Amino acid sequence: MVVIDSRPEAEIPEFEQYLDRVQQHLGLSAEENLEVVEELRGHLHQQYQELLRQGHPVSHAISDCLEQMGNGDHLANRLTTANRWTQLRARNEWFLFAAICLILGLVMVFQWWPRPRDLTVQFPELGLMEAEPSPSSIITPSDPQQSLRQLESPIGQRIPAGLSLSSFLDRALGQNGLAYRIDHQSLLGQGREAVPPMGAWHHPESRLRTVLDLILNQRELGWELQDGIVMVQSLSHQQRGHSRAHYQVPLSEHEWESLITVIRETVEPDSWEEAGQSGSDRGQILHFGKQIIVKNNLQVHQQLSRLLDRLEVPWKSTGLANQGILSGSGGRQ
Amino acid sequence: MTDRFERDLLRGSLDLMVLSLLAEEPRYGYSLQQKIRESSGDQIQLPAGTLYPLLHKLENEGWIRSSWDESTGRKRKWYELTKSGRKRLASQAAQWNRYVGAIRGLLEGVVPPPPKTSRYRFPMTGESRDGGY
Repeated sequence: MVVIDSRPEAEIPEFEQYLDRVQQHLGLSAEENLEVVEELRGHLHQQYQELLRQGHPVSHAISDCLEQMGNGDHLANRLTTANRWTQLRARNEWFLFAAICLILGLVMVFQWWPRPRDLTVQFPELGLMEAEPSPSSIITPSDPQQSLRQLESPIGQRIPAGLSLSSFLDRALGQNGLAYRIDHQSLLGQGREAVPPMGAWHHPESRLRTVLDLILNQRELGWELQDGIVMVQSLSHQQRGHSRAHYQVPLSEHEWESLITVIRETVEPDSWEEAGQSGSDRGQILHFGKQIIVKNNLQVHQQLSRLLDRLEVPWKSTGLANQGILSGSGGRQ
Repeated sequence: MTDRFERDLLRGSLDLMVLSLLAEEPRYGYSLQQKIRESSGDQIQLPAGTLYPLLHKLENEGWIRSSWDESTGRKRKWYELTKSGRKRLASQAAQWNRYVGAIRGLLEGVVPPPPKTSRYRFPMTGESRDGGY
């Protein structure tokens, strides 16, 4: 006998009780829960009607349908897991998207963030100097008095042989807080495109200016102080330019003659014109009262000031010192 | 042991089974369940408690999509294969065939060869489906 159950789908209490339990254990949104329950309800009723058509008793049909569905709690959990897995994946995709945006944002921030210029070298007391094209080519004006004091100070280090000119100057001057400039024009004018490697210096206690004199002279180079900056030139170029300076020294008359003789015979002897010779382009020494007027190149002026220092006589110069070009260590300007 | 082996085979081929049936035409849950049963000569009874979580998983993977329809007078949720689902089906079918071929090679000489007409078989059924993938 075939039994036809004409009750509406929602009126089979066993099914509704089962579906209520499933719904209670579903962990989805309210709308999703209702959809899932509606789908299961449709399945249960269709199977139920099919079993009745096959001649199953109502009670058996209901129990068979519920048995096929299995434990309501477990079914709810499996349905929740099946849907949540994708929800989690969607969340992970959002998380991945947010992480990529964050990384891109950080890259852009760092790209545009103000930062110290890459090509700068910090020298003490000199401020920032561009490393390109060369630290020796771009200089910052320095305090002439401070530079003079530095030149009279010990070099404070040993310098190995074989350094390039600029490396030597970086170590000898840069590390002592002195700016320098290489007059490349003077080197080119002398036909010297490259200066041979510099010699070594092994005495940290030596005065900086002494080291400069000896090491640079080995390579036919000279130096002078201009506006507190050590200008390195070719020796011949430096010697061509004569400057005039007054040296006031409190000496007696016969002491003056001795001093002039010592100067002529010890400071670049070949650079002075002979007595009675005038109008040449060689150096001159004129004596007036308590001072001498010396006309010669800067190298000679520098050596002269050092000579006066060594003689331990009080002296004072005008002319070059006022221009910030030269000053004696013992000079009382 | 045999029951467990069959359960493992069934578990491993459920996706392929559902995707291949939906490749034929859209179906709702109950009809899918009946089709599996019929196609397997009543050898495969896929419980509703297993079928619906599987359908929801495949839908959330993006391999099938669903839509509600009441045109037949009964509200039903129909499932159909998506484009990515077809790719997935082709991929899984190729893997399955490779696996079956490998196992068949192992069994040659040990057990009698399968009937020549069986190009593609549901697991645990004698029904053959020509055409394959």
